[in-house]
Amino acid sequence: MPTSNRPLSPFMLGPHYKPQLTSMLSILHRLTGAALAVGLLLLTWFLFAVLAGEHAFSIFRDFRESFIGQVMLFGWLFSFVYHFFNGLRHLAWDMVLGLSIKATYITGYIVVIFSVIATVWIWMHMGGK
Amino acid sequence: MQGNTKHWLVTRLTSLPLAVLFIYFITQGEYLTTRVRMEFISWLQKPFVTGAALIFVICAFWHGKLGMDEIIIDYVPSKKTQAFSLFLNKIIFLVLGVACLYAVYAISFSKV
Repeated sequence: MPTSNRPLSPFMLGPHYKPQLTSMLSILHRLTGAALAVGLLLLTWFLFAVLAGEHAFSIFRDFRESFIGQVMLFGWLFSFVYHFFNGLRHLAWDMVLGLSIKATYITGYIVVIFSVIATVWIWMHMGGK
Repeated sequence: MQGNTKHWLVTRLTSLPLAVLFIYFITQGEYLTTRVRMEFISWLQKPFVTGAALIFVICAFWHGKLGMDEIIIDYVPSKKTQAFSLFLNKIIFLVLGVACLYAVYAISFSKV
């Protein structure tokens, strides 16, 4: 097969591989990681807005409090929470803990449930501002 | 230590402070989301918070750079484009990371 036609690795999406909890959580770890990386751009904006003065800060605050800003902030929070819990799962795997198929499913469901509950709780706790 | 082993290890090492600081910053939510600029500044100027913020910035940008490396290596097949993407990735995270370190430093140690 010519190089250009080979499936990209990892080719877990598409016709080659059946979707399952483990592979979906794996790709979600990447997606949330990428989202967090993009969020660092907004962190940079925020810090420089604080540094620049009241006017720059109010522009950032208006954006944060807008609908799109709130959606992005909620998405960033969920990404952080999920990446945190699933990251702990990765660290356990690195210590050769929980590597059986049964264990990866159990911890996978735990990560999903914890992420949803923690995201909503933190959002409400922080006042969703 | 080989390059890939170091990559793997640094990803883990930077994740540990991030996990701890994530929990800490959640407890500080009222300051992080404050509508009052001076309230955020006086919070950030506390020595412990300044230190936490500096460590967070270093680890977050480093960890983010390493993670994006993985994604680029997996999904950019052409060696040439891949090498350029990795270079660009390094520059972007380095510049933004250093900029954020400066911002935290400048906010914390000035009488804004």
